[in-house]
Amino acid sequence: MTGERKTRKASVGTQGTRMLITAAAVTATIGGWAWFAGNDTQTTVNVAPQSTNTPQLVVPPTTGEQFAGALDLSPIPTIIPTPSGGVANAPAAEPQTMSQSQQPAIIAQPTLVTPAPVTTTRSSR
Amino acid sequence: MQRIEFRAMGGQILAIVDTHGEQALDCLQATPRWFAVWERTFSRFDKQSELSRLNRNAGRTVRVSPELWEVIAESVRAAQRSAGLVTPTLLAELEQAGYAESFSRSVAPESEQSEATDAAASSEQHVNVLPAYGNWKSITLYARTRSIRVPHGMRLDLGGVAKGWAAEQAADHLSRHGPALVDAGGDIAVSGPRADGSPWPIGIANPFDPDAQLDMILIGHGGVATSGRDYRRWRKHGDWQHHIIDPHTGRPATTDLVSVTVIAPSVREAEVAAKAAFILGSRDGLAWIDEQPALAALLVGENGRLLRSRQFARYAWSSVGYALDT
Repeated sequence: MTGERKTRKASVGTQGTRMLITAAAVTATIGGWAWFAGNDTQTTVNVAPQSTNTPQLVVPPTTGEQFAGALDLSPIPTIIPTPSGGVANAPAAEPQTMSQSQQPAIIAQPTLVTPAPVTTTRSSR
Repeated sequence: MQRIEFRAMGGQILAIVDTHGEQALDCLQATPRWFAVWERTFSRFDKQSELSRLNRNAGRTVRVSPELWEVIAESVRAAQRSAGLVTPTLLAELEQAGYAESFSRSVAPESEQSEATDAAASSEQHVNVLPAYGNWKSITLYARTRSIRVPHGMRLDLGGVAKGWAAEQAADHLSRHGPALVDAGGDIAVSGPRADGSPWPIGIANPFDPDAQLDMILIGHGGVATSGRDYRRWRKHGDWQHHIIDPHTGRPATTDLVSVTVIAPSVREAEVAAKAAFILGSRDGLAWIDEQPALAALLVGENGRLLRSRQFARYAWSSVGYALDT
């Protein structure tokens, strides 16, 4: 049978943080275009390189067991603005409940690397 | 990953085997020889090819090579699968339309038909005694003796299946050394996932801008083929002609599609399905593809509209699409 794409893993490098994304679990919009499900065409969820949706924040278990959900977000880096206006990554912190006085955590966006095609199909030439 | 590129069968051939080593390289370097042998067997442009000799003996039972037997048998199966839309019996109609010589030797595809080519087509034209649609049923194959009888007045053209067959054979041979992909002029056979387990990323060319891509698909095994009128076309008496003949009319198909790309369990099936859907047009072609869950397709309308079949999203890197308004 032909190849399929049931799961795509995206590896995101952010200062040692790795995220596993199951495509089927994430609904994305691309560049402002909405998914359109017309007559009998298949609605597909996809994670596109330009996705602006952020994965839902999940507090991982504290027992150290592997999180079995679709998204593994531990540890989540917290980006703290520096006085100069730039940003620097804080060291990875233990999961904790955010209080209202804390700055909201900026969750790193998944970066999917678009593979280069090995060839292109076209009408015979 | 090792690869080789060369020209054969009127098109550009690419063969890749995803492994290192001398044996894989030796096998890869043998690929052009295989295609040369197959071209001498299947080419209607070569007057000394085995196919041309079979065509000159129409009305007689002729014993043929295993390769020619296999490809003609496959072309008959293709006609069955496509309800006669893709048939090997249209050589006279192709020549009548003006496709009398290989595009690799002809002038630029968008040029006017030359008087010389017109004269050549007329002088070689044979009149089919049977109407084109359905006449493939009168081809007789004798499996025990590997013999074929083509009815008197009929001549065969294997352009609908030969390239896909060759791509599949080559990928099969190469796969003994590692995962292989063979692209024969846009008809692509994939033997299995790449060495790292990932599917092969394959672009789909934009027929309106061949340097651009419409989408990219990921194929782990099987084949993909594209049929269209964007490249093999020419002017005859001021009118555009192309090479995909509708057997109902005996003329280049009148269709609202510019190209059709099909993904299938094999490149042979993809090749046939792409031609059939192209002839059927956007509405019936898409419906026909959707009736077959093993197939997935991207259809490009002459107005630039993209139509994706139900299964296409399984393979597409980007699945944004539009539904056909009904």
